[in-house]
Formats: sequence, structure tokens, C-alpha cells
Amino acid sequence: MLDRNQPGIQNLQHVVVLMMENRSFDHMLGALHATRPEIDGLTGSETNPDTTGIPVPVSPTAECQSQLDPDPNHHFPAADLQIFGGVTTAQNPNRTPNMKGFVRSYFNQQANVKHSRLVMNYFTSDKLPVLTCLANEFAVFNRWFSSIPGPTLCNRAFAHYGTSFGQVGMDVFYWNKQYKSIYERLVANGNKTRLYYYDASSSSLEVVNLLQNQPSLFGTFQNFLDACSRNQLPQYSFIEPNYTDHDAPDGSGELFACDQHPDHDVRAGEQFIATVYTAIRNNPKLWPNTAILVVYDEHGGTFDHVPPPPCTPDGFVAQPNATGTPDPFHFDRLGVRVPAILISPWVKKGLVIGDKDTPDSKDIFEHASIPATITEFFIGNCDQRSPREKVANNFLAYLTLPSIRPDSDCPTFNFD
Amino acid sequence: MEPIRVPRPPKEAFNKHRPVSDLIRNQVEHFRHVENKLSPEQRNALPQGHIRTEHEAAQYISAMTQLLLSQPAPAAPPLPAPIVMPRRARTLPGRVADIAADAPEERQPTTSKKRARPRKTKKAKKG
Repeated sequence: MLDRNQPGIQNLQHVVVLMMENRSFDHMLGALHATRPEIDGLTGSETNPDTTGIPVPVSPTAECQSQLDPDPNHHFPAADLQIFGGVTTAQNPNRTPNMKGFVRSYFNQQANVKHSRLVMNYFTSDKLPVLTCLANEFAVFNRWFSSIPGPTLCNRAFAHYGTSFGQVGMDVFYWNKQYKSIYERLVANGNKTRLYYYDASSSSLEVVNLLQNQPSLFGTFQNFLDACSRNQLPQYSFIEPNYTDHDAPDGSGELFACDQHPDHDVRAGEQFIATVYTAIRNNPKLWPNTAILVVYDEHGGTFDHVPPPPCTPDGFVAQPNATGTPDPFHFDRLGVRVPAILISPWVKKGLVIGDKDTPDSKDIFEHASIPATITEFFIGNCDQRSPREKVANNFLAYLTLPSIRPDSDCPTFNFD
Repeated sequence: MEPIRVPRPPKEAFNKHRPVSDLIRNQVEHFRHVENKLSPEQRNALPQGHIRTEHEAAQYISAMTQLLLSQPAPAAPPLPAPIVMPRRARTLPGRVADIAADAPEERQPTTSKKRARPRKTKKAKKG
């Protein structure tokens, strides 16, 4: 339950969620463990066997682009292999996640042993100055997991609806199902909300269910920037990055994909994250009363060492013809861990959420935490929500400082 | 605290002819699903042909997005299920058009006017 007596909560008026694409926690932030042991990153001793049986260690040699082509498979069967190391329920009905199948999974795409090892690479902090800075200066979650061991759209559905309505893949035909999107709930409650896609050429991934039926919920990233500068930010904003390299419609230049989806250059995503942050950070009328969550939708097939925990079943069952495995899926286990950072001047500097040595359910987050948090804060109680959303933790609970951090204590960015 | 430098990607990183990812392929498929509901006149105005690259996908997605945004407001969607809201007065549900009316300054982008854009990399200039 959110403590509404906290000054940070009492001041809070806006929440902004920026959801990036397809990178695991260890891949992006694992290096931080070396200087901050309380962060559950990489020690350097983590390995995965390749198809010849040789243990492949994690390596701090991730490049901004060109290593993860083709895009590592992260559909349900591949994620199952990555998490359980190829052990099936037929072999062991009580199998447990061992995170040993990432290299073998990547090998399956090209049958290239050398190339398959690249999926163990992770970034050094100097290559990700924005993400690293925000993780160090604000709050980083040790245990934020994707909602499903599967691809983008079913995971993003959890951020919008608190469920994927039984989907474990890329189908998204669930308009007017029993659980309303967080945007519909907010509108019904008289709140202002927007999904901001980058531009018309990139558009939204919520095409079938929301863009088609409720186009007025949407705006462009330029609209977001305008809303920030005019102090007209909605109470809840969800931002989608640019998903494709494409020319600017007005011929003014080339627009880089900034979603960080492999094999897009991660520097464009770094710029994008910094742009979102700066739009709020540099506005003194927004910064004290806005919380930003930067989170990734799923791991994109890149290595992470933390086994996803069991979770409250979602009430749906995906049958084997949907999972692509011999087994049905009861939505009772989370997907691979992803980076998540909570930003606010009311967050303690360098906060790490979740003790890595003593896991506690109160420290486990997944994308259903997003509608759960927004609903609790802006609406209050709401019964018609998925079982997963009803038990999801509230990520605003960490705005706990008794007074706001001074401006000089909050980072700024200098764009090339 | 000193500002943190944010490097930009090199221009060689831009590749609009990159084959579409599974994600974009699915996004296009969802737009195709919506396209099938359009009139023949509307469909004829859309880019035709097979989509293989990010550039081709962007052109099609742009046309479809602008078309959806230009559609007349749909009939009010079905009433949401009752929501218990102890903190605030409830407004009429489903009046999505009111959102836009409340925020006229948040316009959709046009290509005919020059305006500030998000950070982007222009082609390298000599010197």
C-alpha cells in the first residue's frame, strides 16, 4: 500500500513510463556489480555451455551495434530453452530455471558456435553513460522481470492491461476483453493520459486495440516534448521509442531507431532516454512532481543470470500449440529480468531496490506493476483487474526522501 | 555535478534498408489487419508492395497511422465495467474525444510545417 504521507507522493502529479526494447538486466547493467556489489549484476564467473560443451563466460565486450545480428530469438520456446537450459518437463517434471541455455539458443539460429557466444556479452558502463548515470543517481531495481518468457507484444500488453489475455506471442487481438487498459480506466476516472509514439512512421505497437479504436489517446514524441515545455503533461504518459531507421518526413535528416532493439545502435537509445529525462529535469514546474520509470519490455534473448521466479497465475492458459513447446503455460512464472530505473528527486541517491541475497516478494516487480501502480495512485481501488495486477508491487513506494534533492544533486546531460 | 556527455551514434549506424525485425513484421501485420477494414478508395491510397526493409515499413506505417488519425471519431466504445473510485468524482466513461478537446495544443504532427523535432542525426556536412 502506498504511503500517501510521504512528501514525494504528496507532491507527485505526473508519472512517465518509457519502455525500451529487448535487453536483459545483466546485458545493460550487469557491469555495475563490480563497483556496487549490492547491485545483482555479474561477477564475471557466470557461464553458459556452447554446443560443444565448452563453458562460455560472460564478457564485457558488448558493442553498440553489429554483434547481435540476427536478433537473438526470444519467442516462448527459445526463452524456455534459455531459462531451463534445454531441460524439458518430460525429462524432469520438477525442472528449475538454471539460465544455461542462452548460447545454445543463439546457436540454433545460425549454427555458428563462435557467433553464438556473443549473446553472453555485456556492456561496460562507459558505453552506456546515460543508463549507468541514472542507475547510480536514482533507484535501480534488482528484481524487475519481464512478465512472460516471451516476445515484445505479450510483455507490453502487461504494461497496458496488466495481462496479455492468454497470449504468449505477438498476436494482440484483445479489444474489449474483461480487463480495461490503464488508459481507458484513467479516462473513465477523469484523468488525462497519453501514449506517445515517436512519429507516424514508427507509430505505436498498440495498433489493433487502441490506436484503431481510440486514436485520441495518442500523441507523438514531439507532442510529449511540447507538453513538457508548456507544463501540460498528462497525469500518466507512456512513451514508445522509434522502432525503425527512417528519413524524417520533412527531409530534415535521418531518424535513428532509438528502441535499442538488437541490432539498432544503443547510443541512439541512450540519447532518447536522456532526452526524455532532460525534458522533465530541466522544467522546474515538472521536475519536483514527476516520476519517470525507464524499463525494458523483455530481454531480447540476451543473457541474464537471475532465474525468473514463480508468480501468481494469471487465470489464463496458453496451450502447447501457442507456446511452441510440449507444455501449456499457466502464466505462473515471470520472464527474464530486465533493466528498470525509477527517477525522481524524491528518490534516494543510489538506491538499490531488492536485496540480492535475501529475495523477498515485496521486491519483485514485473510489467503488471505499471498499471497496478498507476491505478492505485490516480484512481484508487479497482476490482476488475487481472490476478497478476492485483498482487503487483507499487513502484512509487520508493519516493521516500523527507525533502527534495537539490538541483545540484541531480544529473544533467550534455548532448553531442 | 558535471554534465554527463551523451554520444550520438555514428552516421554509419543508420541503415534504413535493414531487413525488418520480427517486431516490425508483426506491427505491419497488425496494420494490414486494420487495413482490411478500410474502403477500397482508402486502401488504394496506401503504399503498395511487399515490405522488406525498415524504410518500406516506415512508409506504410506512416500512411496507415495518419489515415487512422484522420478517421472520424468512432462511436463511443462500450461502457467500461464499474470501477470503484474512492478518491475522485467519476466522469462519463468513453468520451475519448473530450481528451483531445481538452488539450488542443497537443496536435498531431504535420509534414508541411517546420518545427522543433526530437534529437536526430543529420547527414554529415563537410567541414
